[in-house]
Formats: sequence, C-alpha cells, structure tokens
Amino acid sequence: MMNIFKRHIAKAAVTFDQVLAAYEKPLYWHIRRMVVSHDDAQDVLQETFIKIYRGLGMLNNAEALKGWVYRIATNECLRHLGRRREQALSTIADGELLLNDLMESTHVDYDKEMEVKFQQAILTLSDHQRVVFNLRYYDELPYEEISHVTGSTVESLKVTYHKAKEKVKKIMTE
Amino acid sequence: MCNDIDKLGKQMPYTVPEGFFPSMEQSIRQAVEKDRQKRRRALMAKWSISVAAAAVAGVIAMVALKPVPTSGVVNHDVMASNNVANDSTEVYMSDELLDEWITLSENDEFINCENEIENITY
Repeated sequence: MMNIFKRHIAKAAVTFDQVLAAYEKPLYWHIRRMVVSHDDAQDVLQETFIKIYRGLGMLNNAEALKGWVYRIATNECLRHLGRRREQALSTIADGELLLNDLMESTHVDYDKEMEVKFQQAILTLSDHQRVVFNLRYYDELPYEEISHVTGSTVESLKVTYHKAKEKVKKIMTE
Repeated sequence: MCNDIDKLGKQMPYTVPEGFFPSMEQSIRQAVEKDRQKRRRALMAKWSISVAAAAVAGVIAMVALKPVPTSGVVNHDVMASNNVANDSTEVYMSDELLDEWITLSENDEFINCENEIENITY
C-alpha cells in the first residue's frame, strides 16, 4: 500500500506522500473554517485527498500545486455546504445553519469569546466572501493564487476582500 | 471591544481531538487505497464486458461471413476435400493429445446431456 503513495508523479515532480505531509493541516483548517463542524471537516478533508490522489498524475506544474489543492478543497467545501442546505428545513436561513453548528459544537473553545464572535461575524458572509476572506486573512494566499482557486479576477477579489473585511469589522464593533 | 481585526490575530476557537492529525493521515491513506481498488474493479468489469461483447461480435461476424453454397447441389468434391483436410488435421495430432480430448469429451456434462435428453420420457 505504501508504494502507491511514494510513487513519483513525474510530471509534477511530487509524491502523494509529500502533498499529504505538506497540506493535511492547512487544508483541514481551511475546510474547518468553511464548514465549522469538526466531523464535517473530517469527511470533506478525506474526500479532498481522494480527489487530489486521483488528479495528481495530471498536474503538470509543481508550482501550481498549492492553488490546485486549495481549489479542490474549496470546491468540496462548497459542494458539502450545498448538500447541507438542500437537506435543511426550509425555515432555517442559510447563515443560521453554520451559526448553530458553531454554538453547538463539542470542538469549540467558548472561553475564547472574541474569537467566537469573530467567527460568528465571518459566518454572516456569503460562501464566496468567506472563501476569499479566509484564504487572504488566515492562509495569507496572494490574490493571484486565490484567483486560481476561485476563478475570479484579482481586481474583483480585492474588492470582495475589502467589502468582507468592512462587514466583519462593523459586526465586531456592534 | 477590538474593532481592528488585523490585531485580533489568527487565533480561532476551533479545536481538534487529541491525536487527531496522525490518525486522520492514516484514515486518508486507507480511504485513498479503498477508492483505488473500487475504481480498479469497476475498470476490470468494464473491460470484461467489452471483451465479451467483442467475442460475441466476432462469432456473429464469422457466422455471417461464412460462404454460402451458390447451388442447392452438395458439392461432394468440396466436402471430400474438407474431410480430407480434417483427416489431415487428425493425422498431426499426437496420440497423447487425442486421448486427452476424448477423455474430456466423455467427462463433459454439456456434451453428454444430449444423451440424457433423449432418455427423458414425458
């Protein structure tokens, strides 16, 4: 079983082992920030790496690896969130689902009140705004790399980030 | 109240169970391997179906393209020459191989069920 993970992917000059070692934690936290629930983040992370393994052989450029893996993780998050919304009762607003998850989770330190409030503010953003905000604020990805993840232009990403940041700031001062 | 989120830092209230990441790495490897085996089985099944379909198509083509006699009269000379050809095939079979084929046919249920059918009374 180990051989398939150590197999050298000639085109991208990287093995699955290397990708897993480098990106397991960063992708987990990116996914967790998006889906909130630890259990959901586990499922999405697993699915993400299955897709990374399937597609790694077609990756031509090792430099594009970071944007590529984040793109897969982000798409899996959005897919998961879409499925949850379909399954949820129609009386529950979109934002409330994740806010409920945040306040009812067993893997949240509620003593960190400012941090909890900060996450609550971020969860009022749209999915796209949250992706951009999280990738810029937490993962510190350059706009060019976020552009590869989301497919948006650098200019529109800058505007999205600015608006998201202002909205979060306003909620924090209320 | 902090209104400068840049000063808030990157601290989050989210936690993970102890030992989560090493065990998650193992789970991911198992999931990847399971997915790989599943896709491999699906590919083998598709390949088997394709081969079977190609074999059936080949048999149909052979039957369809078999030369049809142009007249109703049986050409005994042709039949004789074919039999000669078959006989000549048998000439080149070793005794051991011929014995083996005869043994197989005697023990073959499918070939011998024809005799059973003849014995069934209704």
